[in-house]
Amino acid sequence: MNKLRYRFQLSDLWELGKNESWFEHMASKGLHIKSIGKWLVTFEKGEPQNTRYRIDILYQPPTQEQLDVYKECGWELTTNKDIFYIFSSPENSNAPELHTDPMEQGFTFDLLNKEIKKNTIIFSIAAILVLSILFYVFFFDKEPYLNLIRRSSFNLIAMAIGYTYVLFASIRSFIAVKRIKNSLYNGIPINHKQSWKLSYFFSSTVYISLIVMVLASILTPFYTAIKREGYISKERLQDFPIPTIEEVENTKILDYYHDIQYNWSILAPIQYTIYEDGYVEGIMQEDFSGAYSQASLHIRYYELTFKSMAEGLVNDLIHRYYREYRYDWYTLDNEDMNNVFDQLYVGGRENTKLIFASSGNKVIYFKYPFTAAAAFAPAVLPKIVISATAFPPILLAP
Amino acid sequence: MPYEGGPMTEAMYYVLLALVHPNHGYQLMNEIEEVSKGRVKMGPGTLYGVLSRLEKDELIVVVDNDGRRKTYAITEDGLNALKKEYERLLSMVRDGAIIKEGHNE
Repeated sequence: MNKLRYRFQLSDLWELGKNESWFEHMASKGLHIKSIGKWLVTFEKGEPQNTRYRIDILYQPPTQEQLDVYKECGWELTTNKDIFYIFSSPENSNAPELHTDPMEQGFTFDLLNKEIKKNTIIFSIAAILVLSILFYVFFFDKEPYLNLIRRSSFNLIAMAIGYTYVLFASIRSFIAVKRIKNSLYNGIPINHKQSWKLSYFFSSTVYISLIVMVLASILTPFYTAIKREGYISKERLQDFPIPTIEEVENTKILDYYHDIQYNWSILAPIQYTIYEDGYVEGIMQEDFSGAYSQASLHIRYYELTFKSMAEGLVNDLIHRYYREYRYDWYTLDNEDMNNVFDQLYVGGRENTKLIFASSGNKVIYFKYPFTAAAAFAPAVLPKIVISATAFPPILLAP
Repeated sequence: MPYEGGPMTEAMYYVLLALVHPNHGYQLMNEIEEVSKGRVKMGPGTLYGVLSRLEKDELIVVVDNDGRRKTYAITEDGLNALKKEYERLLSMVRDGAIIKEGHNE
């Protein structure tokens, strides 16, 4: 048995001329079309031959008599896909053309045109519906940037791209089929030598992108699962160069709990969420319930793919975490920070401070509840520096 | 597109014409070539396209189908349509005579 070779389908088969000249080209390289699948065209490797190919649109499967007549005229059925029947004939047999009347061939596009018109309308409505929902989710939500950097947003973005393509492709086919039909109606025969190269490049790009997107959608959750860190021991914490509450509070912490979560998405490849929880000894509560108080640190850190998203993300984080707490807040100038930050917002009340900052493509949200509240003053802020080279943000103890 | 009168394609005209005598596939092609005195050489794709269209429009009908080959014949409607088209073409030719007269002057 001869070796089989697979190629992505060039374009829709109703683009008769392009597909015919592509099949001819392949045959001249020794690859003879065998069958057409959903995506792939199977070729059989053999001797290079000059073969003519013609695609006929047959809404009814041809009868044996019909195939015999085609054969008698020099055209042998190679394969078919749906209503598209591919006939071949050796170049030197000089078989007469399959279609000798462009207008009659135009009629064979009639039903196809109607079918495609129906599909285009259905696809367009579906695509517009889905796209408007996605658009609404992303841009009319109060926190569009937080939505965009979510891991699941990749699937939504892929979906948006997919549906946009479907919309574009179905409208394009509708126009293209109508154009071919009209051209045949006007007596212009199919150009059997139409160039296929651009189409091949285009369809390969589409197929490869599709495969990449599907694979990425499948693999992303696995990748994230591997990368994700849950609870880590206090000893292992040393490996994570982030400030601990102990360092921040400069005191001993009881019932220590530390949680680092890593997340990944296309638009924010590095995302850390860090929670630290514990009790601080020695400070009498206002209600005299005990000589301890709860201390917790909450950090969200992002490195974005696009620097331009940083400002929006800071605003979203403020929307989510600041408004949530309803603190009075105030802003500080960048100049005070020696231009370490592009944006810096500090807010808070009593023993909790919130910091929202960005520097380049790095964005951080810091919730910093102080038991030693006095220690946290604007004067301490310049010492919080987002490392310019890599994670993590480094908090230099005051 | 169902036929609703009006100009026929050359292929349609000759298939109808050839089917005045019931006939089948391959012989039909030869018949058309003969009737048109070798001028019209119809491809098989065109032939079967026309046949299925005309059958659907009931301008022709399958009179015999032994499972191996179908024999087609023109219907009453088909014959009327053909006659109308013939008249139309005839008057077109007559009207076109101006060219010749003009040429002779």
